[in-house]
Amino acid sequence: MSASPPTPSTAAASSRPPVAITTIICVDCVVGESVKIGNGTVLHPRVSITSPHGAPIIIGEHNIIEEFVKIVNNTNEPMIIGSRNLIEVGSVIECKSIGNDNVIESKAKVSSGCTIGNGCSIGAGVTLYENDIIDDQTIISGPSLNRMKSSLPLDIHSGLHEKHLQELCRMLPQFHNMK
Amino acid sequence: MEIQTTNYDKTDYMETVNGNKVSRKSILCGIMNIRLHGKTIIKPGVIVRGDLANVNIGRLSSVGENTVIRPSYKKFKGSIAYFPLTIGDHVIIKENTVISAASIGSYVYIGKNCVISKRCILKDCCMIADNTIVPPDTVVPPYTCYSGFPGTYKEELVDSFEHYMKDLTTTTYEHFLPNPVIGGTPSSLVTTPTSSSTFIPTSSPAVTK
Repeated sequence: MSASPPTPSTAAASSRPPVAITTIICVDCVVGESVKIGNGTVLHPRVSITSPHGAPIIIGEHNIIEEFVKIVNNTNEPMIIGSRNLIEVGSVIECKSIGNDNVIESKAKVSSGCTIGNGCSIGAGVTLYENDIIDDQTIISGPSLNRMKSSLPLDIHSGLHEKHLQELCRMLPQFHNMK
Repeated sequence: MEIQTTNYDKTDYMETVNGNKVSRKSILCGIMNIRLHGKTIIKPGVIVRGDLANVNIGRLSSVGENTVIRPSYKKFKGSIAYFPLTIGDHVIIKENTVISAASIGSYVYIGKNCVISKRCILKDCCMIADNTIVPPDTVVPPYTCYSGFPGTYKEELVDSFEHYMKDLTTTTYEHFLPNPVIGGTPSSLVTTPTSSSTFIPTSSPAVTK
């Protein structure tokens, strides 16, 4: 480990982005200016969170963001991502807001202007239309963007997510240099 | 089938005693948990997550650019457990693919832009076409080709697929050679499809602490 994570107070005062104590950001991540990452979020290697126009990106607590995920805010408005989301390998997020407890699977693309509620599941390889609004607890899957209402993904996700975070917090610092 | 010789810059790859050629621009996390059994090619931008669980890759396999190999997890005894990922011999994995399978057999071909979702099991001698998304917990039987979104059974493969893959992987390895040192010509000027041209530059961190 190159640097131990500073306490929240010094992090907020001296460095940007303000990263709190249990947040894990692996090396090789690109985190732009005006990005705020909440407590306990885990960023795997090669994540890129950028905002070319300088608009803020606010990411909540206890998210897991996996490799090659691209979070881009191309607008001038703030982008808000809630808490306890799982964003899997290679997905692209350009949307306006994401709620809590969502699962976005591998290589999914959330286009600009989209709003995602809480407890949703976006299937692997799905590309959402622009300016789409996805209600709470919706499952979107397949090339036809088939929608289904179910609380099942939320139940599974909420059971697993905390354990997953604990496991990652235990394992990742042993192998990675942290930012 | 004729395979063109691909040359790479010698400085871009590390070569081990067993003949593994690993790009310096790949990210191998938890290197003590990754076992390459020899003559395996790992191209730039590949991420192998050995930190999550053990990863075994067999002989004469090749992994294309920007592919992610990450072990999958499962709920186990009330908590979550990542379990080891085994990839057999003579396996070709093309670029931009995400592999989180539980196991992959030998003589397997996986096209580009695929997603092999969590806990899939790919048996020996099977093929996944380009742009396929295989749903979680799928078992792909031997001598079958899966394609589409979501990935489903499309056709049976010929019996000679095993030999075909053996040939293909062996020739691929034999034709993956360092740039010959020509007198006076800097070898980096020779552009090859694998070494310098296709590499997506790792953006340097915009803000570091």
